[in-house]
Amino acid sequence: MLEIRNLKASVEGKEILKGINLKVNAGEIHAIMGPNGSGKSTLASVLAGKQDYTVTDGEILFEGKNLLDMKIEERAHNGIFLAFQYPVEIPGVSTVNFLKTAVNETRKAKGLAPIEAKDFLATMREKMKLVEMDSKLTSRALNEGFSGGEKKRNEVFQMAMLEPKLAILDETDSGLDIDALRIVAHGVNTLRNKNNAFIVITHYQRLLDYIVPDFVHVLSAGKIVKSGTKQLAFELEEKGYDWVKEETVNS
Amino acid sequence: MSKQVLDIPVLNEKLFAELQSLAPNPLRTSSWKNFLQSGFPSVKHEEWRFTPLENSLKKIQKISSSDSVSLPAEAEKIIASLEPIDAFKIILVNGKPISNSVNTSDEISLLSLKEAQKNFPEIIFSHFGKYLTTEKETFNALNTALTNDGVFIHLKKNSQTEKPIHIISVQDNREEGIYSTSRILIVAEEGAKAHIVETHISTAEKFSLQNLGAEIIVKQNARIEYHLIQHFSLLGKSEASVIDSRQVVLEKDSFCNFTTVSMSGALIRNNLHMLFNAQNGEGHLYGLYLPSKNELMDNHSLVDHAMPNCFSNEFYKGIMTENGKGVFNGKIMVRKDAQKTNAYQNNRNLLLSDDAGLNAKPQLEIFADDVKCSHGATSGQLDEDAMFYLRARGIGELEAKKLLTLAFAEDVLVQTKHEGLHNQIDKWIEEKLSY
Repeated sequence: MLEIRNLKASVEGKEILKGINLKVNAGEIHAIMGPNGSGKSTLASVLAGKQDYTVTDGEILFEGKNLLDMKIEERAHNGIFLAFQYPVEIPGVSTVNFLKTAVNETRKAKGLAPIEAKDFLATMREKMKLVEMDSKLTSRALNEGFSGGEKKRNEVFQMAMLEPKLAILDETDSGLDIDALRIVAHGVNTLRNKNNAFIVITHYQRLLDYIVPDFVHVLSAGKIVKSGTKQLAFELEEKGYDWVKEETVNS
Repeated sequence: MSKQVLDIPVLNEKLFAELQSLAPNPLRTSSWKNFLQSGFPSVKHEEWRFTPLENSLKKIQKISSSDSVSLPAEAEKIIASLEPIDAFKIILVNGKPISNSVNTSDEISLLSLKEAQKNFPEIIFSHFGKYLTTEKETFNALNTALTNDGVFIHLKKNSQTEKPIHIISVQDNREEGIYSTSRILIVAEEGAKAHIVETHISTAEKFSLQNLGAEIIVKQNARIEYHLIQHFSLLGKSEASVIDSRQVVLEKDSFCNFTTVSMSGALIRNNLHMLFNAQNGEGHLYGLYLPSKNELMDNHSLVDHAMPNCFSNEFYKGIMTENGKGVFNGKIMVRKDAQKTNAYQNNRNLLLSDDAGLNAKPQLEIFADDVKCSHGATSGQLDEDAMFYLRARGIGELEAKKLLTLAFAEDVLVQTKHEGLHNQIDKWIEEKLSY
């Protein structure tokens, strides 16, 4: 589904990603772990198309298509979804209006007619249950005044509405208490199937108790320095990131 | 210093003399004198620095006829669809009502100013020209000197309108260079309550200029919701322009919520003055202006706190696209006696193009010592993080821009408190951003 080859990216002339290689197949969950500043969020932003980053080398293929040639919204239309680490508050735009526009813009890109109002509402109600989201939130302005947990649940709710092929969860666990974490993880696990894939970016092993990855990669200083199974996450938790760094230097 | 010697052949002594013999009025003579004395302002005039008039004034070729007027068919259709649809409507063409009176309830009179001079001579005499000063105010002076007709609204004591009153003003600019004069007088008696909407449109693409003068008197305990909407390019790109000068007078315990929405027009200058003439008045001034290609929209407001214990809140927002130019000049005056005044002002601007321009100038003149006043002005672009967030959800760039721009306008539009009107303006904004 996704193939990243020797990806190098920089921001304001400073190289952050220094040659990333990663292959994700349908049905898989990949966890990317790493210390602060290792380039985890940059990777997520580059995949979603944030313009602050310049790709200097390498390529990204998504279902055989060159992802880097696509506009931000085209990536979304093709099935890429980024759950933001810091969801943006947008006063004056109601969550429901925003979502309806997002759903219909994606449908339009696929040559489909706008969704019927009653179908939209029914789907919304169903997906809201998934993340136990209060229906009052959807009539409020997008993320405005939402608590940290509400914002993250809103991200998973949007994901459920848009049904992406590849979802990238950028530190979705940060700032969540254990209950919220469980709810978010339940949402992801319910949405998971053999046709979609997830990249879960996290600093801590904790989230991976709830969302069980097939592969774990360690990102350090802009490179994937170690890949393994879920076991690797436990080792990291126990020994810390320095262990990987040392091991890399020694090898 | 600021006087511009400009010879507009059609605005001459003969025109004035004709009107004076037709409808004699002592105010005409003094106003004509004041006009000749001040002349048209150049950009050297402090209040007209960012609004050059010369090119517009030069295009004036003809004074609109004072004969009966008719409405072009294409305008009729649009007018019927204008919100609020269910309203007491009076339609003007080039400043002149197409009918002398409109059927309303007994408590409200809605008629032409000419007709009102016959039916309500005392009210006209005691209010007309009493608030709109003609000294050193060229356009007020010219307006008062050349006024021939317009709209008169009288709201009886404790009256309430079950429907809004809608003044629809059409500039018929099928001929190039028409200059018209229009005048509005509204007297809300004690305890009266009304919602008044005023919509300005034009019929064609040619240049025309209207000089509009309005006086709105809100007596004790009266409450007025007012929406002024200017959308000259509603039927296609139009060069129609307006210089709108209005004086709102608030008496004891009265309330006025005045919202100005400038959608389109080659040159729009709004001089909105609100005078707190007695204690405990509450006034809100909301504004939204969207100058686009070759448009200039200038809002000059004066909130004049002459008496104590009054509250004013001014909130204007601008959305500038292409090479559109916005001007905001908001002056708050708190006079010596106006203790315990609360006066707030805020101006926020969105520049959606590198060629767009804005000049904002808040002015506070405070002569009382026990007051609460604040003002602020900002200008900026759409938030990049918000754009990215929306686009990352599949919303295309233009659609995302529209959503965020409508959101920006929302806190002004929410003041319309009329769903139809609100939706209509939202739709217009979307249309304007689609080009």
